[in-house]
Amino acid sequence: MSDQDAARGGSAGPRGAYAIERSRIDDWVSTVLALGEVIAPMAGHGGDVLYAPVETPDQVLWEFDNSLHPPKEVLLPQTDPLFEIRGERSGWQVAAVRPREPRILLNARSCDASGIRFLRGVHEEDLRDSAYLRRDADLTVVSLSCPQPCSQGFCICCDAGPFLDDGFDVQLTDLGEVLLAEVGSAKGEALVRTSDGLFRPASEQELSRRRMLEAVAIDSFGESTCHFGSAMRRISTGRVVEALWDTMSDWCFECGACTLVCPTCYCFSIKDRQSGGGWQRCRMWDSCQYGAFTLEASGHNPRPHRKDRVKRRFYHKVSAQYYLRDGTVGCVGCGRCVTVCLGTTDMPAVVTAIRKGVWNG
Amino acid sequence: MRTVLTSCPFCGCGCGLYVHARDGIPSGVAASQHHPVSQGRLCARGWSAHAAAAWGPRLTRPMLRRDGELRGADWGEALDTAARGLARLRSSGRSIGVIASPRLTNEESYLAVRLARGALGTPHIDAPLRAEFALALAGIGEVSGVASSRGTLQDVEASDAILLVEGDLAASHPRAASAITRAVAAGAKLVCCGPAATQMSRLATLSFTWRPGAETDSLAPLIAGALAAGAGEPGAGQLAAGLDALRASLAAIAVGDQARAAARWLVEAARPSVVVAPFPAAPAAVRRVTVAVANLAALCGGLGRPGSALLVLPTRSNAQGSLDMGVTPEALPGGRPLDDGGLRDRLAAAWGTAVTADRGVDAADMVGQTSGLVIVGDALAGGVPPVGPAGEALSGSELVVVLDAFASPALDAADVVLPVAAAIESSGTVTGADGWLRRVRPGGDPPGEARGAWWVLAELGRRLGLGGGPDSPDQVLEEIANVVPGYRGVDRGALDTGWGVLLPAPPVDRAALQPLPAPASPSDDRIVMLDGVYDWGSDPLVDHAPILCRDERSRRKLFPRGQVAMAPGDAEALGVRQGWLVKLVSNHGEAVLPVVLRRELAPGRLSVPFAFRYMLADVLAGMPSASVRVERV
Ligand code: SF4
Ligand code: SF4
Repeated sequence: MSDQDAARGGSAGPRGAYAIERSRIDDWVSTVLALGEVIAPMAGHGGDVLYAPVETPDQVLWEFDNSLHPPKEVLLPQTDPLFEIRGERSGWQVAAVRPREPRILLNARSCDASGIRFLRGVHEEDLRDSAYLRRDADLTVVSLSCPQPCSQGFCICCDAGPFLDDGFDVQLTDLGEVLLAEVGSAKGEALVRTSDGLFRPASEQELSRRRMLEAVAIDSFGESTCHFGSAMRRISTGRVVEALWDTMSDWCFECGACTLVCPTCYCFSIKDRQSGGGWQRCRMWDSCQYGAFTLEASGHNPRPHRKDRVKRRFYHKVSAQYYLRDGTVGCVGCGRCVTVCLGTTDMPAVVTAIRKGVWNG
Repeated sequence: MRTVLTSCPFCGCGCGLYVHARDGIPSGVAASQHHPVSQGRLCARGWSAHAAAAWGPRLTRPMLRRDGELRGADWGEALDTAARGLARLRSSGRSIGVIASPRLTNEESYLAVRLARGALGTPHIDAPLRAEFALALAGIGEVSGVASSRGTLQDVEASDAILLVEGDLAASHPRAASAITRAVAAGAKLVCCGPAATQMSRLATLSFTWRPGAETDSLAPLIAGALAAGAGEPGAGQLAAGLDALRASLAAIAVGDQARAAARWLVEAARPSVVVAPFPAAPAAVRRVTVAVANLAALCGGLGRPGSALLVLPTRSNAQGSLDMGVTPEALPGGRPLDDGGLRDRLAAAWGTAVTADRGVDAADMVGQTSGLVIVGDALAGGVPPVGPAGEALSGSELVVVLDAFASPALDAADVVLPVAAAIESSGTVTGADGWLRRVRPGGDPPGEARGAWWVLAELGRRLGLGGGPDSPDQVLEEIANVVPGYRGVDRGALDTGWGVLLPAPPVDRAALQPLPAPASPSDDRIVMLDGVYDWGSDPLVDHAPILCRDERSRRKLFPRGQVAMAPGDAEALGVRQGWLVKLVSNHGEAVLPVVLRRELAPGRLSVPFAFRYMLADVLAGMPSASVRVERV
């Protein structure tokens, strides 16, 4: 259990299960809206789904294909002002930029809740990233389990869905007339408790129905899976032929999208932006797939060729070294890279190529 | 936080994306999964579409040159000064040019044309890179009768055989490269033609490299092969007009096995598509190439067959719309000929002034050669016309009025500076190469006193005697929908409810095959060519974006003397190694550059990145390639 889990209120597993009538769910969202900023899936243009702050309960989507853009943006915005530097009479003043109020991420899909948990681990490790962790501590994650796997998803191969055992503050499951709310932390408990009268303890039937839905969901994955095990063995024992990276790198267009939308990626650059009379120090999304990401001031680049960078991505995400450190592969199986890849070098395609030793385009 | 759906301001693929803004400043991008062009796939540039506006050196207040220095002014003063100066030039019969960025919205482009051909009475209105794009379309028009693309990237992605003519599609139009790549992964045959080996040619089933100056010689065998494979036979349901002349022009062409195979794929495909991306070639050659590929498309049934695309991809986002609005010295809006009296009357009625019908000069000839110059948007960045780093080419003009979002070298020569919204902050519409009219929505607020370019152009027009208004980009679109051929009656409501509006494409009714030029005589000249047709590194939207600018900046830093790439065999024969200097001597002049070795280059071919074109200017004399002698220094 990490420090942060402890801060979240202890136990790694669910601490209690409640039920709420579907007809009362808007009432609950209203009470949550009073607690802070609620970020939830909303309808974008023409069928798109975007996570954004909602103002009224009816904006929240309850049945949706996961948003292509990851809700990790809530914790790691693409442009992320960390602190402001202002010249004052008394000298330079540095002030942290923080969200103004507690925030609630509502209806995060299981993979994304797992991604947030993964990022927490990363930011706690080695040098603790206090700016990130503070923001994380101010966020309550309400996940929504997935009784129907999404078309590109393979969370099942990453232990990141379709239902979660832990890693959420509250996990909602749609049981039809009622929603089941499993509580995973003190923050989650608080969210359910503030809504007096809306939730009641869940019945044994409701809990067994949830287990049944999970079993059905797991059975429905079919073809869309990704076998990390043997790929990891090959990577970690140096049994991937070098020429494979050469071939595959021609099928990548260096857009960086795979890493930008990945719920577990966090590469960044830092730059100061002039604003008013001072500066804002910003963290910005960056990508290890970009040529100049590792460019050094001398002009030397340790990963000068695209194949070095593609290789690096998979050596990070699918190697025993990182698996042992992070306790999981660097992938939650959301399938976003399959959709966004300008080329065809997404996670399942490359894992298959590594396993089989050949690339088919 | 505010989020809007808009169009990518970079290349001509026309990807859709969401832009986030925090406190009015663009802060990020999200892909749109269902946008019909991008379908969730953006390139690195698209992912940084917000960045230049947020990080670049923004112009925040109008400025006037006084005592040699640019100093802040208020809007009224600055607009009055610009209008007075332009009016004075006009009344004394001096030449005035308007160069408008192909990144402007349709509304802004239309108002730039109204300013030039209406308010200023000048025919000198152009956009950089317009000439090449218009020539490519004209080549298509010679065969199909309609100088426009047809089909979409979705069609390309679903094609079973694709002919790609490119400089380097993966760099110039990544999303189009993606469509082709997915088609290839699904089993489509890809045939590539261009001046050099590229990432796409490595993915191709077959590829043909042409010699600069002899471009169509590598396309002729494909056409002859298509004829041999039965295309154009009676009963094949294809076009017969011009067939005999085409056959005759190909009589002496030998068709190799590869060309025969490639031609057969295209002829036998159910959905053949042709994609033409920018490639470095002399203007006449651009046209010859597209005539050739349009012939091939016609023979393969790819002209006008549903699901088959013939796409000419422009380098910059709204090049198609800019051309449609009349940002060209050689046509009226809608691509209508200058002598279309009916259209001129309609425009005159809408503008409240007469419409100049002369043929103007190209952008490159306006720079430094017109007494007055109005530069709208980032029109001088990144490509042609070749304004040197310090903007000194502009110093020949008496009055330079600059409307821009960013500080740029053009400011050194500017007399009046009018700060405008960046592309990502603009409102209006753009037109894709696929003929779709789409909205752009403001993904942020222009900083300080900067205003939308449409407003500035409208105000200048008003001060130069045009009637009042327009009061909004939507009003301009209403006028466009009334007068611009091809845009008449567009359903403006559908722009917001759907993804856009497909403009009606004129039917192919006068199609006629065109003969090919005689093959060039063989030559083993060494040829140096520019690599690419556009310098993304000096595009302000790249250069001011922290993540995007790094590659280009570091390349410039690493190669302060430029570079010339050559095949290892050539270097060995010459006795030079990586980093050594060589002298290139052409009929026009010479240049000394360090060598880098590149395995994919054909023997005898040398290439210099477009970004280093200044260093080769004396050798090339305005052309994209030249025969050279190479000497070790
Ligand atoms: S999304 Fe695909 S094309 Fe883009 S950088 Fe990643 S692997 Fe390469
Ligand atoms: S392919 Fe072109 S339009 Fe699409 S995101 Fe990239 S630059 Fe923008």
